[in-house]
Amino acid sequence: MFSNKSLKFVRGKSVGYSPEYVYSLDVLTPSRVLSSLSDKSLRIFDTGSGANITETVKLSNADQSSISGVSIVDDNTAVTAGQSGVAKVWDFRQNKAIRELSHSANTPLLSVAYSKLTNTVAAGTELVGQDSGVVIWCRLRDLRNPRKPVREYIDSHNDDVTCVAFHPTTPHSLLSGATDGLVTRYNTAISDEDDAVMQVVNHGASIRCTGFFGNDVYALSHMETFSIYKPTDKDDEAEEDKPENKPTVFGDVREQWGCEYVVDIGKSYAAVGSNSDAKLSLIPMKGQNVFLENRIELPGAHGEEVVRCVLVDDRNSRIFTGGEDGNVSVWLTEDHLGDGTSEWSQVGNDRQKHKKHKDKRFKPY
Amino acid sequence: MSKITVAGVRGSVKELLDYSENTKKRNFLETVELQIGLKNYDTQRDKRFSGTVKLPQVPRPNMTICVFGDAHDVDRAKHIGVDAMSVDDLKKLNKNKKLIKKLAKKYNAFIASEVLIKQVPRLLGPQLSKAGKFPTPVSHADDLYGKITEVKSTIKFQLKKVLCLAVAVGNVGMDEDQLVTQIMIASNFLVSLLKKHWQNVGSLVIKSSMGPSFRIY
Repeated sequence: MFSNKSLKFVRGKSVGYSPEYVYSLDVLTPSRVLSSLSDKSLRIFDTGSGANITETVKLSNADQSSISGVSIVDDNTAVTAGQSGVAKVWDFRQNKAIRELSHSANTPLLSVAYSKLTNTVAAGTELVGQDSGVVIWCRLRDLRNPRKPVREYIDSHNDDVTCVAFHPTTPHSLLSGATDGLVTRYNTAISDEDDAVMQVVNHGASIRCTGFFGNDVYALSHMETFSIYKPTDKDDEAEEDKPENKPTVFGDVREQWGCEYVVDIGKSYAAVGSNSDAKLSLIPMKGQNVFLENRIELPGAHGEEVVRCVLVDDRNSRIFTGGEDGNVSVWLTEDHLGDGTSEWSQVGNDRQKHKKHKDKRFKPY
Repeated sequence: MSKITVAGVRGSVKELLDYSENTKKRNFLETVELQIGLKNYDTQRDKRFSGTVKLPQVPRPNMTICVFGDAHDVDRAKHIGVDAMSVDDLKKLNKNKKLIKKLAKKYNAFIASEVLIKQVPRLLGPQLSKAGKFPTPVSHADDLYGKITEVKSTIKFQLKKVLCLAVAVGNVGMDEDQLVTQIMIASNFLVSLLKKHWQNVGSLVIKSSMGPSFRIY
């Protein structure tokens, strides 16, 4: 979809929840989207194909304090992390939380990630006193399993852990990013934290999100600096700088990418916005290659309000966005209202059901 | 587009320096802070406001740095009079938690050779991370002195649960022009990161460690 730069998108439909903020949008099934809002609610939208957003489920008080992250487990299951200190496993056939995951320190959870490979949930915690770190739970549906974590890594950061991310194909490989500017990579199969830490990257500025591009690690800071780092081996005693290990440092991307802030970094797109002129666009990316010329504009964006989440539906050629104006919007090209079945690719989510085919023609239904 | 002018800031800087130099001079070098009071910002819901700002002049000159270097960088460090430790020196610590904690306390910041930095987790464990002092990398191609100055000139800022943020921008030993520049750079940079820019700023104040506040916006 995004290799054809002459595609023009327009807003199809919006659903509003002002004055709340729409925090996240995730794919549950090809025609159902899960969203979390600032009013502590989870909502499910039926999205069919085309300009469709209809709220069908509302789950209030999903967290006592605030929902800080959502991760999809499967078609009917998601896990949320809350500022209350508890993570919950939700079953959307029953539309309720079936498990509550807690940890010993009970500190607020700020981020969450799920790994299908090991059926494991990781959450980043807020700094309280001296401690902040990562908590890990597994075997989510096993009700005999106590809800205590299998790991609590608390020595690798000295500030709020705002982002956690699992490697999509290598089991037990986890990243944590914190406002201390560090990204830590762990082998979570190892319980001793000293040995579990495989790599530490000093990004130099408070981390907003981190994740894997293949085996490389990307980091985006709260002040819009972006870099891609190479994986390193802590036992490598070589004494020569290896040029192939050099990180790709983009620095402050605002000018390069023509924006005032980055909404999110996805596997193959960067979503960027500008408040002062109500702009939002998606820029295709492949690793360190950024294809500015193939940028897709979403005119009007969410007005002058910050866009918080972007979700791309490649097959149906549509994009969902959520913002601080309280709106969930769907964007389409005029000739694709109602095409085929959807295949999901999502900005900000490692979970991909199928390989994306950028060059494939769209299947009419 | 900036809401503060050089002329305006200069006036306040003059007063601030005058106070610290004449009215009540202290026997230590006072730091000058920029304090930003935010408005129309919801600390619970809005995106975080956090990062680092690099200033042309070192705001706090007394920062202590230690370099973890390979042979090449240890040499360079010694040459410019900066403490340095080699891989062997680090190995000698034997991952002893007490010793590493002591090391972490002794210096304000660390810099490590690029070739070495990947070994830090194995050589020292996670203690430097926990102390908020994980080293900044330096390559053979970088100017070590430049990198050290850069580390000393970089100030962290972070908004937590209250609507006020303070950033060190200089010291009373700097001259007027330098201070004005630092304040302008820091202010404009921080404001550029706010979603509504100047509409999110309620007040801007400069203050020396022990002196009174001077409002600049």
